[in-house]
Amino acid sequence: MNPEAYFLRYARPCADFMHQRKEITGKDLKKLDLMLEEKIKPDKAFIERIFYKAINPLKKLSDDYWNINVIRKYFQKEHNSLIDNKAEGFEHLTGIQKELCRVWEGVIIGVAKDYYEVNYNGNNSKILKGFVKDAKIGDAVFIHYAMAIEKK
Amino acid sequence: MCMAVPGLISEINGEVATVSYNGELKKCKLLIKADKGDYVIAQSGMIVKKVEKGEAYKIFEAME
Repeated sequence: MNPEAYFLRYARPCADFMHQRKEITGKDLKKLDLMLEEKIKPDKAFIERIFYKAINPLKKLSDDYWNINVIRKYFQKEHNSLIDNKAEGFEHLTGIQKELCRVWEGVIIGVAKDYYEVNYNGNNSKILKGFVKDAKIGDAVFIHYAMAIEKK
Repeated sequence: MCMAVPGLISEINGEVATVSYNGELKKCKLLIKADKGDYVIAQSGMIVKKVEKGEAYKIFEAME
């Protein structure tokens, strides 16, 4: 997987909401999806323009920030502390928005056709299978916006 | 970014809810229990969270 597609796994759910708020167009969404599926060459400048609030702190982690390890570190560690510290771009989130925006680590306790039942944040919740189609009970997964992003 | 937008359930038909986003209607599958008149958050066409009215209004206010 290229680093841009990996970045979009975590960032893509936010794009739906940007679209609802008319900050990006349907055409932009389609382009993001094609990059996510690695069907077109990634357009770094385009991704950086749309997700600048994630890219700015990502850049602080490393000069070589288009790198899967750096992106992983950002979403699995940095991202949540930005939310907790009400950093720029994250200062006006309500309780439910914070919960969805956070990246959680959870353990799969049930598998259904459309969803996983996962224990995270002290609760058992249903989440979308998202990018993890083959998880089994006991597997640990990372969750963003009630969607499985990757196995631990 | 990362600001989930709630929609209002205007109709439920079995597992499928019609969700209104400022009058724009979308059909979403219910992954959780919710009723007509509830504010919810959908992800990839699935309703994943219920939002209390007060919090939904707060989000709408912040969006204006």
